[in-house]
Amino acid sequence: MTPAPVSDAKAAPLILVLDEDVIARTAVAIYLRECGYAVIEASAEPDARKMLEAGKYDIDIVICATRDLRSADAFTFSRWVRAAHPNVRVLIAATIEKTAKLASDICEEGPHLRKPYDHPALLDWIKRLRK
Amino acid sequence: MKIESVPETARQSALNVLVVEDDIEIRHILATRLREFGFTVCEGSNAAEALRLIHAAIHFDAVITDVEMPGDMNGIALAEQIRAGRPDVKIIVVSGTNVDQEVRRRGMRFFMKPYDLSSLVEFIKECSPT
Repeated sequence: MTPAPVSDAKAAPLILVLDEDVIARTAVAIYLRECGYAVIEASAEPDARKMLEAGKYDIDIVICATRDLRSADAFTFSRWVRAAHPNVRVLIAATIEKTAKLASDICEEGPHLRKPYDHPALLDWIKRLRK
Repeated sequence: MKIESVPETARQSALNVLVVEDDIEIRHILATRLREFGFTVCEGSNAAEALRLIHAAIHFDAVITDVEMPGDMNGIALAEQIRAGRPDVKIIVVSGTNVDQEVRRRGMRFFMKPYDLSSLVEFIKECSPT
């Protein structure tokens, strides 16, 4: 496939989820897509920077899970996002519980397609998958 | 997703596809396109992530994997490992290097980059029981 800009980048608010834990990242991404958001999944901070700097993706929110990233890296990254992309909202989550709650809160304020399930169910799902 | 523990509303009837690609932009574009075709798509950035998703009891009908990826395992080795544990999963190997013979010898399908997405989609749809 020839890479090309994603045409529907602004069809729905776009969230970049940066999480080194593939299980948590996948579950949160599925949840947010069911809420009606478009989601970019980044497994590492350089990948997240790449998508923010690409200029093709109008990213509205970054969820930065810090439990696996070194906290200095996470805060450096969030400061960089706020400086380089002041229109992007940065949300930091230090625990899986916080990540699930953030996703649920975003879902409440989002495109209002539907809230697929409450965040305790999302959290429970992540924990089961991670076993 | 076809997962026992998943909340009911997350269950999809669409075919589940796992895209394994280390280049985030290529992965995102391919995954987005496949979602537009109605597939449920999960993403892994390397073989270790792909295996973690598979071992988490997520059922995938098809796996699309790049060959060259960082880490201890390339896409062909990943494909072989998946095939060994999940022989029912359709494996599609993609690369900018022609490894068609090597992949076909293992009973898998190869698409050389840049490939025609519609051909890839048609091949995945063959997973469907209907």
